Amino acid sequence: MSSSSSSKMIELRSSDGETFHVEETVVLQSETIKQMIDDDCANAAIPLPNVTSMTLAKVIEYIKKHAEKPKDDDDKKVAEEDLKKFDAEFVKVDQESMLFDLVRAANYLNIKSLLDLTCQAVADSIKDLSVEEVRKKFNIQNDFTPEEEAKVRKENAWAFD
Amino acid sequence: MTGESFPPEITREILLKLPVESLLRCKSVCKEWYSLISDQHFIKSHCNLSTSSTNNINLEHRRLIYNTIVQENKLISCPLYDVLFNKSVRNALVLDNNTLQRPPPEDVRIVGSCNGLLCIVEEGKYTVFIYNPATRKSNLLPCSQRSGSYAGYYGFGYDELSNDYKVVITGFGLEMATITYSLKTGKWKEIGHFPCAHPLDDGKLLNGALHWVAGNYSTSADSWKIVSLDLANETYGEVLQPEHHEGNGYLRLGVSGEWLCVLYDHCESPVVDVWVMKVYGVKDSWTKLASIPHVWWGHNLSPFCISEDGKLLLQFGPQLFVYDSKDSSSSVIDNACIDACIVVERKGEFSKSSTYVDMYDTTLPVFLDEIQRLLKNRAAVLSSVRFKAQSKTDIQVQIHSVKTGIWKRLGDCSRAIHSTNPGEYSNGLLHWLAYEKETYGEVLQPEYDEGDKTLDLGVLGEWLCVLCNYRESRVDVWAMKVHGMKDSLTKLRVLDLNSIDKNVQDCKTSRYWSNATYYNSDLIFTIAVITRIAKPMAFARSVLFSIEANEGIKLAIIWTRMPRFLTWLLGPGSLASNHSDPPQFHGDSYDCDRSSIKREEST
Repeated sequence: MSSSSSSKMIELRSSDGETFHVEETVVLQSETIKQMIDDDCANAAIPLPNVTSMTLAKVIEYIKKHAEKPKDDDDKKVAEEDLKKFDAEFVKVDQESMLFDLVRAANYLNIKSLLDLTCQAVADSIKDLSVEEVRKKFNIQNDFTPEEEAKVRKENAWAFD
Repeated sequence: MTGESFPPEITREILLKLPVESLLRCKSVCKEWYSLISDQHFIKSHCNLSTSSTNNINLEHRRLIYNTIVQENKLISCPLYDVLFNKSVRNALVLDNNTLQRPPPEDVRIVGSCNGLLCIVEEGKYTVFIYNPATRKSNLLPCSQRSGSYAGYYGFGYDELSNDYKVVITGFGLEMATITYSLKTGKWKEIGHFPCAHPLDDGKLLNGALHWVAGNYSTSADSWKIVSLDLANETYGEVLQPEHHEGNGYLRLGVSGEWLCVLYDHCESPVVDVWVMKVYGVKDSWTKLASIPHVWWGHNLSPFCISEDGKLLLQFGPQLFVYDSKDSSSSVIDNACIDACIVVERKGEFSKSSTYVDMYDTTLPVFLDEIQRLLKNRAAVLSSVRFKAQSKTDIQVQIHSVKTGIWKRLGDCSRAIHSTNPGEYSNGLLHWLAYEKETYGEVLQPEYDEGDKTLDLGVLGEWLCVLCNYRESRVDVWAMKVHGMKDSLTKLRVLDLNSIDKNVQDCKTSRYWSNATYYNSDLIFTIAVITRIAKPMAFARSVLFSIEANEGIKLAIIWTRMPRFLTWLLGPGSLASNHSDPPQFHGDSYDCDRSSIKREEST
């Protein structure tokens, strides 16, 4: 029975209208899509209005890689190492906006491991930044008054060394 | 929404993955981040992520903290990884805390650590304080009248059941008295006496219990015991020892990850055996890991950490060193160590009072009267978050019957329920909105329009409603006319938020809560607008107003300083209802008395 179900293809449509065909077993890693399939809403192409074709292609690359099943225990160790390497490379994207898009897509599609991976990458990228740099990166307006900000900084002064 | 900024749930996910120091810095990015990072649930989740690990011991989020004569008046803190693998304390931080500066280092004793907090005793004065090395804040415990003049042995731990940190002093006075301090109640109390002989060292925390070696120095270690004290029910027990070599010897306890460790010092030969109990409470699981030769250092022996590849961090006398069991080599970390401890990195805030455990949990009993008064016909169902050291967060659901005044625990729900929102009940079932699919049984939702939105649940008579808030524009009210039938979902009304009173609209809103109720056979929709939180964990400016069926939108109440958590507990709309009888719960089926629903309809 597994062979018949694994060959079933699901059609996904990105926000810019491009369609992707992915095996159902692969696409089930997305809880959001899994829910749609369970609800029988996946007979036609599944529209993903929040995900662009560029981002969706990356996501599919990720879930395809993570759907690979190792054959035996020896293989498993190798596969785990391989997957680690893949993950590390995967988040090395040229454009920061791409990483941000991936975070949003992982959140929308509800793929926990991808969300963890991409959020970790974003966290790593802001870990050593100054407050001003963080604001700039996330496009956040500083809504503290100068007095309030000074107070907050004073609370944890050592963290600004 | 701008292109770059993330919705709060994603920001939260990202921030959870930051180390403590970056988090503290990020508090001054903006008010939203400040309140997010200061939130007690966030702190717990962060601590949880830091400690959860499949390995026996996760080195990454742990630090070695020790006290040395060389560095006067200061504690040294360095990443455990560096100590074990680079055998250096180069990245050490010097913790210059005001409280710690006063006593000379010889007089400071590190009792133990739990969830990233250190318990420190000032010798001679018997003052105890809890110190958070990540935030460098400390909290001095009030003196106990009993312990004032006796030296005893201490213990520090966390009682998962009551979500409380406890300090234990035992074995003082002729009768070997024991007292415990609860950080939640802020009180010392006396419990049963130490059961045998007397403790020989401070208690070691494992599996919700403190462990002491107990015996007399004059007798052989064969007659010594490992005494445990369960922090939840405050009862003593015994952990059986390994079958070590007979004859004169000396015993010391430690904990590494999930293992209880015993150092057994043979008095006849200069060798210390290291034993670990791999399965807690199972005597046969004691395994001898290493025999380490040493020169006589007296009784001061402690194991701190055992890595997966056989490196041991130990203290023999004043020497803190790493022993590699693979090649029997050892490297000294510090030659004048007084005390050491492994601490999980976490970010926990101390409030001014002694309770800094979890705000919601600690404030609940206090506000229960208030809630009872206001909730009236509403099921006061609250969820509380419980966490285990090695597993993911479980959401524990507790139910409070206003009639009996008793809390009852229901099965755990593994989904992320909107934490403190009260459940809505309809058709004999309670409903919560969850971030993921509900495990308790799911009710299908309507198909919403696209766009940024938040959802709230409400009940109208026998109809379960979902209020879908499209941020700052409108609220769609959906009702499920037949319970569990998706087809019966009907859009009852669209409430236009643009027609809301100007005063309200001008506030920069961050969250709407909405609800629907019957009142005097009129439909009332209440919407609370919670403005951006000015001071986290303090008070938020909240506005509550109602929208009546036929008269358009009318402002009902404005609170300027309503406690934020109270808003969560209440859910707007409950003030508009006028019933006095609480729902009743029978047995384990969480059935609610249908009559209270009927009453609601007939009003």
